[in-house]
Amino acid sequence: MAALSGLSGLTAFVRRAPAGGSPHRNLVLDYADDLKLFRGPWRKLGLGLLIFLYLWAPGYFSNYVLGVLTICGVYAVGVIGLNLLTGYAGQVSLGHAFFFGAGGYAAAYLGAQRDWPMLLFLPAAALIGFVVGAVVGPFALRLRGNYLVIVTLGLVFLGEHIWKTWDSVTGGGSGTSLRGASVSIGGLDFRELEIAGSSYEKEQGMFWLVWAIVAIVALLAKNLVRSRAGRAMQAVRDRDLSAEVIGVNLARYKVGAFAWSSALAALSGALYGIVTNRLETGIFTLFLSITFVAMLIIGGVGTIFGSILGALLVSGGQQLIARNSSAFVFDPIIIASPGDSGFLSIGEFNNILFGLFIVVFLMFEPRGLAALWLRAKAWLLTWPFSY
Amino acid sequence: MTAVLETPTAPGGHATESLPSTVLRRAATDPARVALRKKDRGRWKTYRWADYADRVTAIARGLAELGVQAGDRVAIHAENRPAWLFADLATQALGGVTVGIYPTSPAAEVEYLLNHSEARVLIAEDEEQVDKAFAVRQQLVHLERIVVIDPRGIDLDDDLLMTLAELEEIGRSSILDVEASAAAIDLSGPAIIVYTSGTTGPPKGAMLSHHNLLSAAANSGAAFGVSAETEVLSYLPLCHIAERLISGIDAVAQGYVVNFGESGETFLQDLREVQPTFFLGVPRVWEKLMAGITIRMADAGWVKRANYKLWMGVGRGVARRRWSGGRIGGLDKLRYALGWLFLYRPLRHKLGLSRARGVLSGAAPIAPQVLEFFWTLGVPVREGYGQTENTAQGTVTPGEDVRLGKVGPPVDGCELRIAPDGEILTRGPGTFLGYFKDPKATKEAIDADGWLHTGDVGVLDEDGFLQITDRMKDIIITAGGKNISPSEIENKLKVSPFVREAVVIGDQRKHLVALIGIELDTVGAWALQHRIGFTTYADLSRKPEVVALIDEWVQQVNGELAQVETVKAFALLPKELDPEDGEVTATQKVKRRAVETQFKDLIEGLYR
Repeated sequence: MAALSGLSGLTAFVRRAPAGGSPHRNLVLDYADDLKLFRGPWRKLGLGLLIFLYLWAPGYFSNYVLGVLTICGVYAVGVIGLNLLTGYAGQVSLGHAFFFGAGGYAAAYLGAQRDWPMLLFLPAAALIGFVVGAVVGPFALRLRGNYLVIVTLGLVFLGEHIWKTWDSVTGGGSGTSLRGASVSIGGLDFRELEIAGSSYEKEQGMFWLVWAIVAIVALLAKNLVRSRAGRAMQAVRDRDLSAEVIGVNLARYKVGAFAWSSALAALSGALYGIVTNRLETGIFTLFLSITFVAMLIIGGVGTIFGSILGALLVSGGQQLIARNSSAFVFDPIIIASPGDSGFLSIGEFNNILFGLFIVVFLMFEPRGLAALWLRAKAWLLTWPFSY
Repeated sequence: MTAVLETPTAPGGHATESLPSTVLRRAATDPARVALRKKDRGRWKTYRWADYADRVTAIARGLAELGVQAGDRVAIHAENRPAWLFADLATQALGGVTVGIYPTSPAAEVEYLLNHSEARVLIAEDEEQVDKAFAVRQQLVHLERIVVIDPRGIDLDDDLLMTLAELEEIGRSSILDVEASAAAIDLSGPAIIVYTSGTTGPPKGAMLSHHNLLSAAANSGAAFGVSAETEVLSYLPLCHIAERLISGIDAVAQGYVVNFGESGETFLQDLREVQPTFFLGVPRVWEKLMAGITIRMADAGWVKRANYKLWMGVGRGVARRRWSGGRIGGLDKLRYALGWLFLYRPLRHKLGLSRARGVLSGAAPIAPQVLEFFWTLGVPVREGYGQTENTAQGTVTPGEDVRLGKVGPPVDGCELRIAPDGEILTRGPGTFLGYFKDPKATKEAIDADGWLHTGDVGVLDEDGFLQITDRMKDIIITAGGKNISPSEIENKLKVSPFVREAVVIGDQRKHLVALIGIELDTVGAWALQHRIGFTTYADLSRKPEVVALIDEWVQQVNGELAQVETVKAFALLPKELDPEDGEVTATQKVKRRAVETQFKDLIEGLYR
């Protein structure tokens, strides 16, 4: 009898009773069907493909390419954060470099100087970003648009000053090293991975680590933006006054967006630290903030996967240009080494190039690369009609 | 053809089993199997056979507590929903007779039907239907109770009213043996009364026996191609015999799944979600689906338009060769497969017919162009012919032998012949018992030899395929003495996405004229595209550009017609025909006489 009742309890988990015919997959039998992230065969196929690429890439690409991709992944985490703030909640910020730096130095201090394990110092860095973001957030309640941009811009310069003078944490002008920070979870040291008898190099391990975090962050962000909080943020973006009228708590969502966005920027900075092993004050400048905005706009404002696309294109592009600066296309323009022909440094060239990209995308494709894909998808999905 | 007079045997040898008994049996043998689904707040709620039987039992007991006995009538006035079927079968389980009332019926008609059927209980869906009954409350001499399915907004403080939930609650405390009661039903007695929409005169109540229903159910596998694996969408009015067969009778007998959409307005969306494997449409539905495709296609970009044009051409060729009995070669198959990939599959999926294997058109003649359109897409629409009086058991086109303009040979067990005056006569287990309280009309319908006089005119070809000419009383005899079938011309006119209604007139006149009703959606969209402002339907109909648009189409149709059949003049109707004004029946069939009187001046103007 007890066994029987146990069985009937189990059947509660069998969601679909055996059907006469089979229900078509268009049928929503349960609200859970509506919430599925990977609904339908195509999305499942895409997910499978991504997992395959994730597992396969480190064995196929050279260490150099893996390094480039890993840095792209680091930035992707930050861009997802910026997208939550700008793309979804509509608060434009140029202060991302400041939070990024805060996370990086938090990781350096806690990981390398205090010897915290990675599973503690990464969340701690994110938490510090969250708190700092929450402190800055209330500015957004008073300021909008350009004025908010100027305040956040101020943060970057404030940050530069702090990083230069807070020697005990940042190492001042000479920078700080994260070589001593542990990059391991349990027995798995991502700097020298050993799984089932085969050992992997640092580049491979870091690729897996960073992109796993990108996947987790992307899923969390996706979940956030399709939930009540995400809808509230989008209402704030479209018109904060109307959002307030329909019952959205502006303070909560504006400050919350800042806090979560900064937490991700800080996490991104911490990852940057453990991937590059070295942090210098010259990294966290206004140009880094602008690069984040470039990734956001080129990738796609208001789409999570656009953030990742943007990071891949901009960060990957910059790294590739830096490496190939003496190739014949760039040679006449870029000064790759002292005394080389050309009139621009690599940094200047990149800034000009991606600045131009921002202008072009804002003019012709304001929702970025992701919009190209979304448009193609809509075109195919409505086939053979147009709507 | 030999007469089949013995009781038809349902699958599984349950010849003597009524439909309520079948539900109870299914609940006992296969309780967890899905019987019904209903879309409720965005999600399709499932009813298993156990739930089905449980609700039927509770309602039957409740009705018995209210005093409903064998032979009593219970009326149901609701949109399609599971409770409709529960109440229907519960009534039948008591030996009672169910009377369906169209949800669109106005109060006056509700009064007529309730009084004529002498229904003791009315199961009304909601506030709207209760209000109709209350409007004529003083005249309802036989009605004892109104049971409300959805009591939202209704003041229940009235002795006449109770909710369905209360009825079931009463039923649950009763110990009436519904199973025994259902087993004891006299199967040769009436099970349901279907009031025929009657394009002339007041509705007549056709009594159908349990045997009628069971024989139709037994035929459904062969005639409709339905089985236990079938999924259908219930969307035509359940009072109509065709939908009742599909959603109620055949579904119970065969044990397949019936889906109920959110409401009538969401039909297209529901169809897309359900993707039924069996689908019956009336010509109006097929015309509307076709118009929807052509209009949306016209809005598409050039790549999609070119793709559509290319594969429609290919598909049309293949469909025509299939019909003319020609061989479909390997090249045809390859071309069709490519077209399937690029057009037919996605288009059918968008329509909701991607899985439809059994597809029927019935209840009225359909234009060959419309049939051809769907065959081109790989939706093999077959035509069926039947009427309430023979439980819709007339003819159906066999899947492999479709002949345009013909509705196929008689279904199993049905005899069919043509009377000397051209009238189609049928005889078989589907022939109804007679009209309720109207022996005179019954005598006119069923002759001494048991032949049912359908009132339709047609011819049989040498292979026994029936071709319908028209309703007998609709045939136009012009002043020149020529016999003309108006519906054929009307259907040709209705092929255009801009034409919703067409009524051809010309009886005893020197030539034909037509009243044409435009389709507001499509003509409205066309007007917007051509920057023609308009306010109302009447205003749009008066626009000279719209008249010119329709005129162009009428001239094109005239080109396909013989000289005497051409429409010499036409007028656009100033309003949409409405069942509430008595111009069309609840199933959207035009009441010719009513339209002719209503728009007398318009018609006379055309002859001046």
